[in-house]
Amino acid sequence: MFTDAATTARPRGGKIKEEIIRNNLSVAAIAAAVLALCGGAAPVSHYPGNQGLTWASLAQLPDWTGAWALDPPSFQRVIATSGGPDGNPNIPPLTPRYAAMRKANGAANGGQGPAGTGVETNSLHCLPTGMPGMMSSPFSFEFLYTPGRVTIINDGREVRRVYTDGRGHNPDADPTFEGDSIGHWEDGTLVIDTQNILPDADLFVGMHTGANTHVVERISKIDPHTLEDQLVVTDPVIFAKPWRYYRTYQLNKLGMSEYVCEQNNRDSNGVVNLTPPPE
Amino acid sequence: MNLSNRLFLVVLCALAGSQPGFAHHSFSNFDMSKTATVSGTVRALEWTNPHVWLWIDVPDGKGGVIPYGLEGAATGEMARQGWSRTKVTKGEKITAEMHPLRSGQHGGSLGKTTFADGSSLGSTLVLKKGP
Repeated sequence: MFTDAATTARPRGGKIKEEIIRNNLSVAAIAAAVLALCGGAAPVSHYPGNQGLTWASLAQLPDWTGAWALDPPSFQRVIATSGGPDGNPNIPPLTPRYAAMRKANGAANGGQGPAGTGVETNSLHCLPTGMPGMMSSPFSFEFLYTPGRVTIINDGREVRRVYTDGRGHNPDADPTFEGDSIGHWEDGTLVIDTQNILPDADLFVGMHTGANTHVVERISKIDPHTLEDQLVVTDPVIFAKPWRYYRTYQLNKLGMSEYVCEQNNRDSNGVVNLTPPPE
Repeated sequence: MNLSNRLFLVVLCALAGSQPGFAHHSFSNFDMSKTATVSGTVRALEWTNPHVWLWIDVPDGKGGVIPYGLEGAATGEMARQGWSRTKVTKGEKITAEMHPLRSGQHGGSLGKTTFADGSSLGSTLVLKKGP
């Protein structure tokens, strides 16, 4: 998928912008060569797309201004696209071991666990959801452009830094809840490759990611009020085949809101604090 | 397909465990199979996260009141359904559906709320159960 992307990226914009971009790429290439000659770690330019590499070229990108709230109907769309085992498209295509784990931990039992006591999530403990579950959080998201980078932030203050400057993944980076994201633009579509996700992130409710969970996303604006994220999640231990699904987000005219989990957490770890607030 | 039907499908998906959404808590403290209605006057609205709490003083039949704590959704989710920090005022009459606490304590998961003028608003938490 990604090897084709570099050849299918189509440049847009005027000659001046393209020259600026080419010059920048040339400088990057020279810098890479110098680093390689000196024994340093040369940046790997897997996806040399040229949109959004400079302040001027940011104008070539699609306008995703605003807050984009997770759209409940997108949970229906996944039914037709995910393709689970035994002909049941409603179930992520897990390997037998993980399917058994999912059943045991209650994710397949009404989401309330075998004893009806609930299924663990990171959010329950005020921890970040992480990737890929973060993109299914009932929050609004914003997409901020700077040269060579798209920053995705949600109401829950989880931050994804997607580097679109042509760098490769950093194998020495510490795993994080949001993972290491690199991307490129294919005209109006932002293609993101995320690896190095902490194995404590939420894959979905009731199951964590694995050491080799890999997420590829294609985000685009499908109409003036809707962003669509097509996700393909793979992990050789967890999934029998790639887990494919959609999420859509509706333009939220109310804007972003602040969500601080620790602010007034009255319902935590099975205990509900019913002391009324002071009058 | 109207909105409530679509939301109900979302609920079915969540109950099937197929594509569960990420809510803050597990709802395990609430008996989602039961719906109760409480009526009284607004004691307070805690416009806070991770969830909004609506407090209603419910007459106890002896001349006093019992405060009920009803847990809503996050402020952002509540706002998208028409709620705001100034939506209700202390002392106004209000009726709310709730999924009661399993413990029998005076509280529950906030559902459809009806105001004195007859208008009503939902709460995202209801999605876990369905309309």
